[in-house]
Amino acid sequence: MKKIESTFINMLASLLIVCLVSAGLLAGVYELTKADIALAEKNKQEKALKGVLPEFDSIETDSINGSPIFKAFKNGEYVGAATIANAMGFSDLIIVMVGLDKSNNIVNYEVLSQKETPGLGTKCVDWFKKQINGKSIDTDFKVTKDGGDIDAITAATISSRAFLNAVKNAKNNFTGDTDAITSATEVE
Amino acid sequence: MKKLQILFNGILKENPTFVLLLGMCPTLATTTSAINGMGMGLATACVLLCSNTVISLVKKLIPDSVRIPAYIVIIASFVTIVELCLKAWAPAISESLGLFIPLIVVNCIVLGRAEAFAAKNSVLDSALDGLGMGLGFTLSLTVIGSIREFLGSGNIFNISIFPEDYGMLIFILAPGAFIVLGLLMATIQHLKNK
Repeated sequence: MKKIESTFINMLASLLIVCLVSAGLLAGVYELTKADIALAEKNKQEKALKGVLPEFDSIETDSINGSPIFKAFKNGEYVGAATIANAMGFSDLIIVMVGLDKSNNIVNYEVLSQKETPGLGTKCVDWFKKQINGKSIDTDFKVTKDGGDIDAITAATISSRAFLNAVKNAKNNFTGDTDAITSATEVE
Repeated sequence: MKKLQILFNGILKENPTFVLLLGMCPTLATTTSAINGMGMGLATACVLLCSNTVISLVKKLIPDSVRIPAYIVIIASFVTIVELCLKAWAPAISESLGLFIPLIVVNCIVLGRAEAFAAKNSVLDSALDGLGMGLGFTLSLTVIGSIREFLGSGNIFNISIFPEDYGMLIFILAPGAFIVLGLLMATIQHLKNK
């Protein structure tokens, strides 16, 4: 078979066909994977909720000023609540789920998404657990460099500030305060 | 055997990373750990295999003047398919590689092999070339990732070899990628010239 010549009609037709076939294929794969992607997201959220809340048997999803609040109940009794908040980190948003017990102390947190520097900022996934778990959400968390008492991650102060900002934003979610803190690079 | 030669060409003699020096951006960016390097390599290998096969199949139906846009559309479709599949069935890998999966589209190895090999050779040869190049890329990324992870944090594939506190942080950061890549390339050139 001879190669098709580069006339206007041929170019138009071949590109059109390539695009149509690709689009059809992608639509098919999208439909095929849609359910599983949604399921993976849901599993991730459920796993995170289990990790950050006291033991519970039912979850009630609520929202205050558009921020999601997950209220946890055990035998019909309120045991705690969790929320998802974010703050701008070193390279992208750090998204954190923070869970409280019924007296508003932090039970645990789970970093849902972050793109911090591997080996440095990525340590925020576990680094702060010892330092903030069990403390009241109303605590004014600050790294030692800014006059607080939280040890920042070595060589990743910006990621550390960002993480603490995300926790502050979580607090604002619960109180309905919408003045979100977004920047970690400047400190007043 | 000629077919075997095509397959091994990409792994050693024309290794995309160390010899052809193609696709440096993902090489430098995703090799912070052995497992990330390997994941990126395998995803690229998968795209290379599919795109080389399909491009070789349709090469006669696409006029020369529009071959690049047509190839890019084909490659981008396969990348999106791989991305969706990873999200659905391997969410952990898709999360750690994040942005770099969609960027396989602009990885010059993929278009480079389409242009230099698949557009001129038979379907089977093109598939073998795609597979070989993909495996070569995976191998180099895994090696670079292992060395960086080892020197930087004392682990290989998350298995601790020495305590993390003694790691040289620079190897996990961008400069370490350049240093490791440069030294590996020099070593390979030295061995080749012997």
